Amino acid sequence: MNLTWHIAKKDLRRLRVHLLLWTVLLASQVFVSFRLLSTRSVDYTWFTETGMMLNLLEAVGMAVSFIIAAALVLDDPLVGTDLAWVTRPISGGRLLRAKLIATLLSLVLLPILVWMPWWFYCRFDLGGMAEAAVRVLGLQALAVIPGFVLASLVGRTGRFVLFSVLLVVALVVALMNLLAWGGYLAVSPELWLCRLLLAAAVLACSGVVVVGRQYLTRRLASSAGVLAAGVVLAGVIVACWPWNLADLRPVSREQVAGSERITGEITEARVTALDTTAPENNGISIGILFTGVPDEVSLSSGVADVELRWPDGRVAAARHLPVRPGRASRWTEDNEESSVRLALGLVPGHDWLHHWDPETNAKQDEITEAWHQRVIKAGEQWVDRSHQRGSARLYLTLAVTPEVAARVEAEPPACAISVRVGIKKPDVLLEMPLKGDTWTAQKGARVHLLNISPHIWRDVNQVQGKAYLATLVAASAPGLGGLSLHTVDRLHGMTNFQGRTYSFSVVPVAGNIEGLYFDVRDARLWRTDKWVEAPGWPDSASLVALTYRDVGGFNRDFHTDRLTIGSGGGD
Amino acid sequence: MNIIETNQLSRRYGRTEALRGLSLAVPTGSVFALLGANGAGKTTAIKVLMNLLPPSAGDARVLGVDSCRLGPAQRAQIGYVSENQKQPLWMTVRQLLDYCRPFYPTWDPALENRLLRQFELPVDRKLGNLSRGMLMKAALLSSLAYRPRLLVLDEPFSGLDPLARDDFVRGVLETSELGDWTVFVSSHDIEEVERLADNIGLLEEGRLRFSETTDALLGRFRRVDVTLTGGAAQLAAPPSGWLEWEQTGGRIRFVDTRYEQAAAERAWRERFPEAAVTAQPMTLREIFVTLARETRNQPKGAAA
Repeated sequence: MNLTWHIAKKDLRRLRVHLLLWTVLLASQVFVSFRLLSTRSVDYTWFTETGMMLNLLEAVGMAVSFIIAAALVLDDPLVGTDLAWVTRPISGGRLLRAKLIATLLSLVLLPILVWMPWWFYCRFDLGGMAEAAVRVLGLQALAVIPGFVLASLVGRTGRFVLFSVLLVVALVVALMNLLAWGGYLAVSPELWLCRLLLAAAVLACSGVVVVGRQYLTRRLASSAGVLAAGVVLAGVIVACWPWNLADLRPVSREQVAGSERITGEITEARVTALDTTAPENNGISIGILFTGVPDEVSLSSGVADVELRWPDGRVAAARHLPVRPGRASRWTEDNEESSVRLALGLVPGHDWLHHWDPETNAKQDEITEAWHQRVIKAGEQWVDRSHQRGSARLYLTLAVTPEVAARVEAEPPACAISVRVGIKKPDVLLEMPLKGDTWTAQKGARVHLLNISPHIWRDVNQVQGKAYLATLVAASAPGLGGLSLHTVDRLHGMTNFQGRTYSFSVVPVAGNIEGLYFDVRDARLWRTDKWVEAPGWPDSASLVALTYRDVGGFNRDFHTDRLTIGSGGGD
Repeated sequence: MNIIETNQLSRRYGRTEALRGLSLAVPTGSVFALLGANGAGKTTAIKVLMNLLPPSAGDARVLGVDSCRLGPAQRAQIGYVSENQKQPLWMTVRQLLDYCRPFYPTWDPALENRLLRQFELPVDRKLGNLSRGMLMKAALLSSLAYRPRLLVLDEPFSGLDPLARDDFVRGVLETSELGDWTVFVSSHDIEEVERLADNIGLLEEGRLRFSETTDALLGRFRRVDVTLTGGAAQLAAPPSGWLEWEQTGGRIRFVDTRYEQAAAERAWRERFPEAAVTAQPMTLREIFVTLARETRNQPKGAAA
């Protein structure tokens, strides 16, 4: 170990200038992240441009990692007959261990150390830090493995530069071909993802084998052969791998406690497209309404096996289809509301002001009824989609040929669905006063509420009142998958979903930084003949950031003899 | 006991055969010089011995171990200096020594300091900023300070000025006297080799022409001058061991490659009964040139 460390120290000393620049680059990413989060006002152009700069720095960082990894190898090259280390008492295995130690220190530990202040700043917990560190490792592996492989096969800096350029060109060409070619193949996105991951795994494995062989045997021809075999195999996998490996994994049958009360039914289906020019667009969207969902949880996505069967024996079926909440139902249909209210310590089911104020309640009912009458008079069909406590609607889409889609419309088939649905529970990360120029950081989330400016709002029912335009920037640990932001008025028992930050991120290893505007409407009460401001507002309101944690799932089987075909559908 | 042994060692580069069935034995404790013209296969032979190249056929044993299996234990007993070796030019001389020292349990700091003084190496200068001679001396120092059992030098004198050569050779000679070391040196620099070597092998087009002690080699080569007292004469073709045969009027000159005093004088008397014959010893350079010329005059592939 002493000699291994001795070699690693030599490599680190050799690359000290590179590593200094690399540290500056990393630090600049952290600095820009601080700048984004400590902005005094969100100018979206500035925010977007700075975010892009952060992404650019990240890309440059990856390129620098690639170069440093290669430089580590090329300092004791593996190709040629003039190698100095071979004539010293250094085994290939020891040299490889030394290079891995130097790589781990410089390309994994160093970024972790540089990012650490940011993680503390955002109050990442130990799990969040571990996850961010694993992301650093994963990202660095994307750069280090190609750098190691290429450098271990070329042996000279000049050749390394040449082959790096060729590699970039080959990747761009491959990507362009993939994009151009992918559109003509009826391959599901899940299968594409599986193919790409599998091909990447094959390439990574062959790369690891190549590096290992080069250090242990220095047989260039056979190592290059292994790599070529890996590249060909990866190409074949991308072109024609038939199985989505996620489908081969048996669906869990584990039932989370309390889920036995959840029941459901197939509600309706609709044909999403009848398009012969783009067959991949054709599909049957089927809705499932679940009831009896406990207040403290809500349903997330799931996976289903579906079979449509006609009396003549014809069958259209698919396995492992994703089941998701409909786009239109993010808040009102997927039962998030009750669980959020419970998590915030509010009574579920009294989500609007009028539920506890009879006068306001009566006025709201009057307005709603008048609006319904207007809509019906206009000849439009009214579908009551009002959310019922304990219910949630999920949808799946079965890809079919235009002929099958037409037959589904003309002759609705029997339908059997076997579904596994996930259950999620809100976890409140932080709560802060709804005041400008405040910030709070807890449990891996950091929110800066920059300012709140009042203005007048007016809705379709001519109800008008005061609203507050809130501007905030938020950062969150990568594992949280984005933040769900709610305003809470504990005095009046109200909570409102305001928006989400998403899991795509400008700084993958740092977490997600987002700027967000939202309108916070004040609480208005109907008094005799006018709307008045609810007492205590806005001091009674606060802002809450929460995330959803998966707590398990349940399985259900559904069957209907004849699918109801509708024109609505929620998806 | 031989420290290096090769058996029918061959190495091809595509269609070119750089080594052709080389069978060689280097006795322990000797200073063995592998001579040969450029392209004779000296460097290839050494690279195979050092496991920098795998052999195409045959095998080689160094320190009793198959050269393809030389490990750190053997490397710790081998010093290797080559004109082609890629040195860590970013290091200073001091850093090079500091880096090499821990790998060798037998590293001798006193010898290191002595060689540093003797070679007058600037310890704080980067290897990349050293002259070629200084660089070779630094490489030699880093390969001598641990008193290797076997020191392998591949064309160490190429491009060195006379002073640097002298320093280099003195360094090798003086340190080799400190222990029972074996030095294996490849070169086409005959004068320096002559000072060093007690055993010599000659490679020609990848084949070993001979391998023997320097004394035996110098002893069996004579430049022979024959003055025919009866004037010019027509003589039968010379024996195969007589090279560079030249007859000018009543005078004949040739190189006897199998000189042994009694037998040679008997042969001369039989062939030149009425002549005055004188035989002069030859330098290694003259012997090398004679053999190289002979090889050049032979049809391709006939040197064997």
